Amino acid sequence: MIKYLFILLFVPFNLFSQSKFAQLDIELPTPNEYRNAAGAPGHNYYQQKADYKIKATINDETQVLSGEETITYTNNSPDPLTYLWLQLDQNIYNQDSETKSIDVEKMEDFKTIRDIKRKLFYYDGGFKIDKISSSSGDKMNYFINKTMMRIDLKKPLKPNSSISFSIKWWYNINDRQAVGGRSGYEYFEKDKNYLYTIAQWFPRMCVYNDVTGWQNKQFLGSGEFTLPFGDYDVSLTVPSDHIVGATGELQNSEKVLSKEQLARMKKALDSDSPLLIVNQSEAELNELTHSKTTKTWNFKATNVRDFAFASSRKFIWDAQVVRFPTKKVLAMSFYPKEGNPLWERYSTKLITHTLKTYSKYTVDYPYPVAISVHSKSIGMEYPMICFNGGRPKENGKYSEETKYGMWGVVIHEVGHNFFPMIINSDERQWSWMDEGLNTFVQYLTEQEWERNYPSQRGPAYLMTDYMRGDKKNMTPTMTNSESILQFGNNAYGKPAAALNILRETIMGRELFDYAFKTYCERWKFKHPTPADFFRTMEDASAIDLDWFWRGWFYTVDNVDIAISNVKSFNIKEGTEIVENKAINTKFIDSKEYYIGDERNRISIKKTVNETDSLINDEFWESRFLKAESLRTIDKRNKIQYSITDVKNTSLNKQFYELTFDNIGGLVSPLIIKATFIDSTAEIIRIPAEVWVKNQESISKVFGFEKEVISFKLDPFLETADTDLDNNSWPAKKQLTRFQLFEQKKNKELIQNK
Amino acid sequence: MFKCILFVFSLSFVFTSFAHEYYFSFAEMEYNTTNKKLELTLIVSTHDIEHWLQDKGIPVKELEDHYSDSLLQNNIGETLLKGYSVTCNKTGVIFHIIGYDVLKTGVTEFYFSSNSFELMSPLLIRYDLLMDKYPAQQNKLTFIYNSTKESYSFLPFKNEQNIKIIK
Repeated sequence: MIKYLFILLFVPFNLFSQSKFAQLDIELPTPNEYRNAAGAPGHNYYQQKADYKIKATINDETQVLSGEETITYTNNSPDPLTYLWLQLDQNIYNQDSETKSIDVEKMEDFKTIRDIKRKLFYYDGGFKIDKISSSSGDKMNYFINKTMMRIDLKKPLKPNSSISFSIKWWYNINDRQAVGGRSGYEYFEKDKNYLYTIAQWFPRMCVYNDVTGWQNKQFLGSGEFTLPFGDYDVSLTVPSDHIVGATGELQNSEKVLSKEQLARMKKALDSDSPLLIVNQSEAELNELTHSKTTKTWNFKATNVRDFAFASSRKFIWDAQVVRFPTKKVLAMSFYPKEGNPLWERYSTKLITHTLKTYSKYTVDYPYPVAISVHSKSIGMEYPMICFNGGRPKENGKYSEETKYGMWGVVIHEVGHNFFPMIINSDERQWSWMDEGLNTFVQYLTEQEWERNYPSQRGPAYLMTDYMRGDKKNMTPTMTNSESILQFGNNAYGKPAAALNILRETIMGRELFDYAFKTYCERWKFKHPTPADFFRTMEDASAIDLDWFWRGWFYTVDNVDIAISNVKSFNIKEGTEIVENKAINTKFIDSKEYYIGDERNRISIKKTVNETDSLINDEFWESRFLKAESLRTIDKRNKIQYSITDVKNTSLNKQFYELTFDNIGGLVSPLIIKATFIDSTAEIIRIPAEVWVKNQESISKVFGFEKEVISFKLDPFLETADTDLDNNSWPAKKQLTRFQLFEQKKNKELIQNK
Repeated sequence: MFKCILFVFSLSFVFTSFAHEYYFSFAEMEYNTTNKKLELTLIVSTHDIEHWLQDKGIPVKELEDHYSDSLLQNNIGETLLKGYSVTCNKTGVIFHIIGYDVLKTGVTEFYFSSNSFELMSPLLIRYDLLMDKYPAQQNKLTFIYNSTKESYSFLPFKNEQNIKIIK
């Protein structure tokens, strides 16, 4: 009986909790003294600190990296710690690596000699730990659990106290072309040189915090890194003809650079355009030297969560200043000659633009340098430094695809300085918190670089193929990094589209930008969680967005809203039901465009390439001409709206009842374009809460003084509606991609005649 | 981490590969009731397909360099169709490529048209394009017929789908 009572009492509650508008009470952790209900750090928020002193050497003959580090770990938590956990990410390359053993395989993977060679490729990877000792020189007990290592403490590390210990280690650096990896080396057969991009290269402290205790997820390959902040003092010994770029500021430039290079560096510190510190002919001479002597480069970095570096005798090096109101930052690029002409022309300018734009939308860039390093087929981020692909052909030519790929990857990876290097979310748990937020600001940055930049991700309409229909093999965005299906769409594209929908449609740019910046300011140099983001966005905007987070982040539903029925009513003529039958149109009446593009046209006064014509290459002219013709179309549409964009609330003569069906499951605002008999139009915006009482089908009545000849839902492609065929009255079938291609071909044929 | 990432070796080694941004292709296919042909668009990541084609021995470095090479285009079309086939009432539907477009957003659209045939059940689609190279590959088809749209997912362990034609 008690059981039945329980069911009776709780079933209605559970049913209610399943509502698309239910608050996220169960899903989010209870606010507490560490993280408050407003989404800000609580009054007792704490985080650990890990400081490193590292001496490391690259052996260019054997491609071995060896080092010794002293870690000073400070326990700011209220808990005594009896052991410490460190990340040994290089162990992903161990022969007994869990990542390898859980790789699903089938016989087809072994069908060619090349496949077999790949599968059986042997590489003796992983950390070799020589010793671990305390500050007094005593051996410390440790246990390696795959990619993590526990160090046992003789006495618990009390709150507000520190411990120092040393680790001596080495590992074989991986050939990225053969083994893959986020770091490693690229070998250049022609000149027999190596280009090292080195990361995850030393045992690093795991995060201990109020959310997970010790970070306890193994590194399997997808979920990246969760790391505490700290200060670094790193000495890197490399062949004396190498040039080194690294996290932090170079401390001994007078010892490792020539007088000429020092003088050029001094000039670059005050130059608003890139200046070469090592030029191409100098780098080409360097390629020949293969020096047997070494130099030690010393770098220091404060309040960073990691340290990475790049080293090669092939590097060309350029730099320029980025001016902020209260400080100067040095933007630098390191690239082999194989990266030119793309890299000398764009890389440092892209860094500069990215730092400025991200600082506007998030927090001021706090570090003294920002570096982009070129190596083939890579895109990976670390504090102040990132490794980026995008290589021209051997003859120095490049395609537009390569250029946009290179631009996109530099903006994206430099942008990662903000997410997660400064706003330090847990990548091992939630990929979207850095990739999604970063992709969103990347989109904003691209649009300010070049007008009509063909961003790969960001606008809502770019996500519709992924979100449409069959959901069997999709995971919600709130899925742990290792369990995500379709990483790119799930963790990059969908959250970026969701944030654009919030910005353009639900919150508006002003409220959104304020709330987003508030989140960034609150959590810079701290460890935010999804709840902190969700709560801050609501807290700083006074908009209940629980329904939005629930739908977009906790489900795989999609937006597909249909105009299923239209009734018209005239006081004189009475009610008329008008059926909504599809009309097979052969041509689109006017070009659809994204609302963000329309608003950017006004809000972005000048893009970078409009002020710096050196950005424009031979591809630009044809793109510019196309953009001009689009602008003509847009002007025409704009005039139509400006005449009639006024809501008529009285003396309506013609009423229309529109029925909307929610087919996709995601609730969404309704944006309706009513076009009148005189070709003028009006845009009506209805908040998503219109679905609060009935989430499957609703109706609304609109009154106009003029007869409506058509209604269209989502006319500016801003809600990610996955089926536009059911968005119009009278129904209008969209052209397929095939039909659009045929139309384009026919047009070209006519033009060529 | 971004997209261009690592395409070279061993994408079948999860342990060596990056969390690749793509591994997804889309198909849009409509039965044109007027000419009784299937009109198909395959939408794939340009980088992925370029590397896949190179693995198949097709001499293509960058697709946008080869628009005017009709022989190569046919070769590309035939190779792509090894990863996409339609069987109607137990008879294979024959497609031929009519063109492709490399978009600046990083994807390429390939356009195919079929011979004329009477559409009927059972319609069997196999869509395992790129799955031999990228184990994480998922493909999704949107099929349009009589103004209705249905979408179907394809995975390495489920690369065929039966579509019931309701006339």
